[in-house]
Amino acid sequence: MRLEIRYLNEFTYGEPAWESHNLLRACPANDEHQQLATYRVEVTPTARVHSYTDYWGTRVDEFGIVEPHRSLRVMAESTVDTTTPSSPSSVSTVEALESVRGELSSFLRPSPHAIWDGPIEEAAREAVGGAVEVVDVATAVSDKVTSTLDYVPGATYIGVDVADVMSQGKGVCQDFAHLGIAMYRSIGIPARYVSGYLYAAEQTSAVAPDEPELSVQTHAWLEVFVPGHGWWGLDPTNAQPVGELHVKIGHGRDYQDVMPLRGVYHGGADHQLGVQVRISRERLSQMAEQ
Amino acid sequence: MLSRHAEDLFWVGRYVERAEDTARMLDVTYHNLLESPGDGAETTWGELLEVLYVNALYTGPLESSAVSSYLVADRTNPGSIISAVERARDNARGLRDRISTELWEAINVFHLDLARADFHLDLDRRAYEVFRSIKSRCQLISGVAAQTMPRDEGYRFMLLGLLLERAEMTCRLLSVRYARLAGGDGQSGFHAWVSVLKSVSAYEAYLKAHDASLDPTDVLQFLLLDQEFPRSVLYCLQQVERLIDRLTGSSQQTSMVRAVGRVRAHAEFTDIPTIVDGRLDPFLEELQKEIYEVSDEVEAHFFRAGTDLQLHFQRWA
Repeated sequence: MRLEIRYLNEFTYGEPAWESHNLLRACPANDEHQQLATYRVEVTPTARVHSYTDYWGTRVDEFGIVEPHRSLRVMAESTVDTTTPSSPSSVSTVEALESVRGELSSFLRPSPHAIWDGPIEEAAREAVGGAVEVVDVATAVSDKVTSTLDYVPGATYIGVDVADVMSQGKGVCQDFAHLGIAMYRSIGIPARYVSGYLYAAEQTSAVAPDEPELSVQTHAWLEVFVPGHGWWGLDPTNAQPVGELHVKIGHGRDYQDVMPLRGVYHGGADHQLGVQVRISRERLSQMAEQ
Repeated sequence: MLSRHAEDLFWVGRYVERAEDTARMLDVTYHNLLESPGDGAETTWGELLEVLYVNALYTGPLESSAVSSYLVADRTNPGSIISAVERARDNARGLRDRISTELWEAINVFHLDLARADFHLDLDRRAYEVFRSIKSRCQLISGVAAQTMPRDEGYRFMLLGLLLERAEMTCRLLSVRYARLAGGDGQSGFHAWVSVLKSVSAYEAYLKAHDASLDPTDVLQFLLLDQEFPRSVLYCLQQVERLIDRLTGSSQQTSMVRAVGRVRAHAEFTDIPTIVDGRLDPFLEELQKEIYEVSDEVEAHFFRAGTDLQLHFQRWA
């Protein structure tokens, strides 16, 4: 499916900001499941954008604005062709993971947003039951996350503990992903965090929308490693394997590694952020002037 | 641009200018002494060490070859030409993607040549060539920078360092030399003023603006306040103010902007004839102090401003 995506961040500062340095990770990945056709970044006030690929393989656009400014507008426009990844067909048991344990240790250890405690591991073990095949284990844990959490926008903040999220029983897509990752890792299944866009009217249902153009939000899901198959994308927020409505930006140990936009600046702490993601199956309509 | 890079560029400018000014002063001191009776040599070399702020570190004899080699080739002297060029080169090496290849090569080749040179022999046999070549290599560096660097903030930081160093050096030179020169008269005073002017390449420019009688007031007026001579203190400070204006975007009245405005105005609106008798020393001292303040403010504002960094707020949904 060909999708056009426009990701817009607009910062408005209470007092002028200067010496602003930012890293943008908004470019759809080019991999075996999706192909990037076009990508461009526009920054206002104008800044020279330097691009590179980070350790995890995600494209990073780096830019700095020295002169004082009252607002910052960062727009990333992309066109991407997506396909539905095949489901793992191989039969591989959790024992088969032993041979890749060293290589994938980054995705097996706790990371800042995915630190688990006893209850998380217990919940994971309970969900898995007697399953021994990685695909079954992965599905069971993903379903457990879906049934444990209610999707409640604004329920959490960045940096919340997954343990708190679990006891609270509600969260947003990042929390679903982090809780899932923590559960997988607690029982020795390599899992990584994926940042991306979802072309769906609701984050909780990966169903192709009726209208061609949609206003959405950035999305997050996860991938588990299945021996003999590779990384397999699962989206616990909407209880589905990753399909052609998912556009992957990149992956990492957790949110920290693929944060869509991070930056620092000098000036007052007071600022507003407006984020907009538009996705369309056809050409994107021109955005209404703000 | 990262403040680390800005700071490194600032210091490339400063070190290169420091090397050049040191060579200039050495050159003039050395050749001035050749023409004068031998009794003042020790005092003159002592003064030179004082101008360069290394008199407390220097323990050798106050005579030409020892002081020259200390100021040119002694790595234990942080103010020596070789130390300055070495540090400029160390900074430039970390800036390879920020400066032009030509600029890097000019600095690197200069550094390599200095490291290879046999200064003990050269300073003894052909001091004139040594000083001249150091000066022209430094000028080559600033010339290459001027011809090959885009006029971006990196270039401005480099220029800022260079101009602050130059303004400070001129003040230092005047404050140390003036005390003695004011007392002298006739031939020796005349020669001494010629050497002061020559040490900052101002002799010819001065003669075009004034007559050849070398009235001390005129010389001071010229070196401190000339609007057109690129090494006068006021000219440097005006350029510094302009650069800071460009670098900050000028809309903010920061303590740095105030500091540079203050020192520029202080210089610009001082009436030299009224301070020549007795009040020059405190004036120069104050001016130097104000120039340091500007350097400190530049460091604090551009290079050490990390303390009040704000994070761009993020949400997840």
